[in-house]
Amino acid sequence: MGDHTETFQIDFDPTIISYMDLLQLFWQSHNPKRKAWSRQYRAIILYQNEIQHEQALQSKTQVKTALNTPVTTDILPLVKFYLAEGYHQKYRLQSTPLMEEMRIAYPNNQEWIHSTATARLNGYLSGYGLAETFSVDVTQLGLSGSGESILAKSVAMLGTPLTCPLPR
Amino acid sequence: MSLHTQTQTTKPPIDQTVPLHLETATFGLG
Repeated sequence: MGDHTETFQIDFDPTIISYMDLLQLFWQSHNPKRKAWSRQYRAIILYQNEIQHEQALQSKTQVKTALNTPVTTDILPLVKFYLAEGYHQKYRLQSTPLMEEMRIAYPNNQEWIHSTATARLNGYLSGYGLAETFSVDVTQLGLSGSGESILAKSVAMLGTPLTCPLPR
Repeated sequence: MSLHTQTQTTKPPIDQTVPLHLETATFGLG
């Protein structure tokens, strides 16, 4: 493939977080003024229906107004999403011993990639999440006792309290 | 009655309840 763009896809529960909230987080997570390196590496919102399209345009207008500068982030319809190779998935998790425990729970590759537990583990291991939800989640991720200890130590070793800019 | 074997694994508790309605969002960060 020479015409693809690297993206990530999130399945979310709209009763917990809205698409607008995710858009807000997206805008906070990149520099919308920077020119894209290439088609492969560019900031982009790929909408899947007209509601998402309208909300994406609305959020872009707000950012443009707030920054008072042109915004290079593109908004386009999603045509097709291809899963990246396995080594790209839950990248941080894969370099830890916790991965073995997740592989036992999910011998099937598709299930492992789409698991909430693996996504959340990867997030915590990367320093994202809230300290108050971590203390609950740590027992819900299917880890052994030693796995839970490894996770808690890894999170503590990050040196900064868990924070996530998600709307509360 | 059919006879089959199946490997049983236990899903993490957090994955045992799936919301009825999920939506999908797709982004690229450059």
